[in-house]
Amino acid sequence: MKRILVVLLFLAVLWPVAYGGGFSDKVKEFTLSNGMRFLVYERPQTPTFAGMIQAKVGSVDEPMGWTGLAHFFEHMAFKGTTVMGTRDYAKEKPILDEMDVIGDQMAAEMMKGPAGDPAKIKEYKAKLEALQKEDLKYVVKDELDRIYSENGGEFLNASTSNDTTQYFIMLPSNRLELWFLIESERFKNLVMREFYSERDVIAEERRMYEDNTPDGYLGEEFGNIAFILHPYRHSVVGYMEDVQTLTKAKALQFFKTFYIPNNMTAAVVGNVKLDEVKKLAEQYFGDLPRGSDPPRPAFIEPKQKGERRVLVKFAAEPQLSIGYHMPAFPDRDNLVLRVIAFLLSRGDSSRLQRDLVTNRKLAVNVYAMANSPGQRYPALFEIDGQTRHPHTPAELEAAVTEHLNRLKTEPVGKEELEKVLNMAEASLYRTSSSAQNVFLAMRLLNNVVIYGDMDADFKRVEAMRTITPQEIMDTAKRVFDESNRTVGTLVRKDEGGEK
Amino acid sequence: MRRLRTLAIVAALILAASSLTFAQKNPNDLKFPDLEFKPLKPNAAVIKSGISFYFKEDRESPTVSGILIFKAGSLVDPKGKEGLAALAMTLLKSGGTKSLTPDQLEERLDFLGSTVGAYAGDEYSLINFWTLKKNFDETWKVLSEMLTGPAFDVGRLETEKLKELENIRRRWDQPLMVGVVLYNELVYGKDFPDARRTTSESINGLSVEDLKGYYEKNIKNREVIVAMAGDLDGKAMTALLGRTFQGWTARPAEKPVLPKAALAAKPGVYLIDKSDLTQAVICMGHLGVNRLDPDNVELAVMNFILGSGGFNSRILREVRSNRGLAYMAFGSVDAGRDLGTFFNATMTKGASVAEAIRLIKEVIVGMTKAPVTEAELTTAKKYLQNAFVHRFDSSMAVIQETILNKLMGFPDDYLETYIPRIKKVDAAKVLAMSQRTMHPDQLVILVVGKKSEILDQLKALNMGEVRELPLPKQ
Repeated sequence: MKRILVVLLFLAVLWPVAYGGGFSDKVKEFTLSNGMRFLVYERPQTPTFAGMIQAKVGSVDEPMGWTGLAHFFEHMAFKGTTVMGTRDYAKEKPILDEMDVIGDQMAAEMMKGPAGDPAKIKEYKAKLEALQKEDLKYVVKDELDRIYSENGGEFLNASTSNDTTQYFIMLPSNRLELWFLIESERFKNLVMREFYSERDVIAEERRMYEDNTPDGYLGEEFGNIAFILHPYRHSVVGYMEDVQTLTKAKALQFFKTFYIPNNMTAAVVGNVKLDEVKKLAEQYFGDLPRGSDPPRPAFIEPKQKGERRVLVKFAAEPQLSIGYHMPAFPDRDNLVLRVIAFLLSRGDSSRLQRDLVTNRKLAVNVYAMANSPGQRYPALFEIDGQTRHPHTPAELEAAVTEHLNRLKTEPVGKEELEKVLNMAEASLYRTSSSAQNVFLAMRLLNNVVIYGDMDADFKRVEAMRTITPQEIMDTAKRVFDESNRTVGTLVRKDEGGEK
Repeated sequence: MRRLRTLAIVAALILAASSLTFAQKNPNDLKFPDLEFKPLKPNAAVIKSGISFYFKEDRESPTVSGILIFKAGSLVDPKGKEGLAALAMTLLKSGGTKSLTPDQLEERLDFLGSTVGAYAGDEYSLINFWTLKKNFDETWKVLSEMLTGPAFDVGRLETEKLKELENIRRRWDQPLMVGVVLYNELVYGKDFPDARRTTSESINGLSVEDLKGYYEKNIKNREVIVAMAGDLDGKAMTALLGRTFQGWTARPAEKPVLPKAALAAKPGVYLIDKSDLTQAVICMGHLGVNRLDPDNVELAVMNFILGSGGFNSRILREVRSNRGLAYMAFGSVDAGRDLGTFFNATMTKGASVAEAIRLIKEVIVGMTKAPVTEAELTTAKKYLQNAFVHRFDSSMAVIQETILNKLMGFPDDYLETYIPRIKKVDAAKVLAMSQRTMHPDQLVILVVGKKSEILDQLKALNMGEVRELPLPKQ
């Protein structure tokens, strides 16, 4: 304990204005010869650390018909290895192989659609269940979780977004080597056991987030029409039809393609030493062979030529989503639109919040964001809102449009712009009251993996300071055009919707 | 083109699928000593009788964050005035102050890039803030005005009331919320303070006088706990608080007289029909224990094994991992103000509702019939011991642990003795705890889902009468 206090005092002297210009004065980086990058942020305050590995693969990298695979694979990465999660892999393997043969046959039958034979599918299902029972004789259930938990692992999880997939945990800092061992093993000797029962779990996850909540229900249809071609159109969890027909072979190919060291970046944040991290990284990840650069989606979303609308009916109060196609980083419009999102809806005094929620009371929530649903490719500037009865989505839409038009014609005042820049600057220093190491790791990885610069968010705020009121008007004119717009509306089923 | 490109990606994926072999390493071979972590403590100062101050100086980033805690919340809302505490706290900020109109106040905080919020919980209310150090003085000025001279603007009250009325309309939009809210109502009874909720009548009936009354009675001149962490000077801050609370009399909070909890619903199965759902919500259990229950470490170990330990717990293992019936499944006996709830929940497709209920009940029965295994006990105890350190992983977290301890009324050495006490838990104690806190014959089982898919399954369950409930209007 004493040592830590001394270090704290030392830090207080050494870093009077920590975070000064970003992360680069505190975060060290190294790359293994196979291309795997490591970011190390020594924060000795508490004897813990967060480890996070981010693969640059998200739902945007899924080919058509394979939607949901990035997320499906993320689930499989918790199922163990040839020695973890099993009593006897040699005995288990023939069972798993047999399951895959039946799984492929079942997928083929299901892919016939309505022409598929339900009796056959049922038979395959029963066989899979019987084999799964057989396999369970050898499976050591959820051993990865157990080992991490016994070692004080907290926050153990993974997440998949449209852009990236990340695996993370917080551990006591004397367990650094354990983290390296487990994380490297899951990518070296992974066994995708329990594949078919996990597919049912993911179906339930989909029902929970997409099919039975108004946000998911509207969001999925909205994405489907806002993008015609680009894979940002489908949800991360994927279409139920795809998820039900994904095969082990597809998952394996996906794994081999994207989970290569030159497509993975790790962040270790907390009470660790750079030298130790380097040594262990070399020891545990050094022998992963570099792969060929993964294929990337080669789709350029065609220019939208007319407004698109979708109306969905659901047992919930109305909500509205409006989206405009926008360019990706580093296009200057991307930066300007981030500022516009602040102007419109960050803080109680922002334009939409003040005018539509507080004053006119058309809505209970309105939120604007740039880069939805992802940051790697051109995406949408999106405005989501929940109306206040008896006001309708049409009224809210008209009011939002007024504000977007105002941005085209009326220069933003100096003070309002300054306010927005202050808020953007402050946002760089916000931290959570717990699990700070995890959130810092996530932020660092986003900066590095998506923007190629660990100080990307700091530099972004610096760049925002150069934006002029004229530029905001020009960008607004370019982007907020009716023919570039998609509008999604959810209304209550029994109310018949609205015109 | 689109199709061709897809095929190209597929081809690349197939080509990449070559085989590799690595030496296999078993993480079970790595052994580490269990952590003997001593809880961290914040600095503490008494500003005056009734105003205590906890702080940690932490200069890693040029920011200051803090919380002011008041010992009153929505539990003291009079019957028929549900929502009073919540609106009163919201209006502390959104209603403006004597010198700042609501618009000016919001404009000011946004310009500083600072956040200030005021909220009511059940037993406590709080004002929290976050600011860059350079804007602390300005932010604190606004916050102190909210605290000492709120204006309760009538127009803003109207806005907040209309918002809350809309939230009531939207209350049943998320299936899980329907289950959680109505399960609490079944277990505690509609009028029990911990289960009451706002109604359009209670919100419409609230006036500015009501809000002012709440503030005068429960916030102004009452005791306050202040916590701050960040780039601050403890001495200077202590002096500042002395000035802020100079005229503040800081009387102890009134202790509300509240009824004792008793299981309100008859054990059995309750069904709420939501015909649009493709996945049902299941909530089941009964009442829990008091938070001062002396066997709290036994409770922690038991809950971990029952259903709060993720994949290491029996409920998630059985319902999700072994059978693929759900994504989310958990359970725990909660320690509450009077009595918490014994709450188990999962969401599963209509066809597997009965199976999921049966499995969860089997787990509950199993916990009460036989001791947990040595392996389960080891995992739970090692987790609770080795993960204890994470509760202290930031300056604010360190402060929160100490304050929570005081507010909950735990003994002063609660945190110091936590690990030694965890170590002493054995299977016999866990079994005794399970038998004391879980009663399979008292289970109240609420299902929200598509009746036509579920009703027959529920009847065949043999877990008591199946009663259909209407979805309440609000």
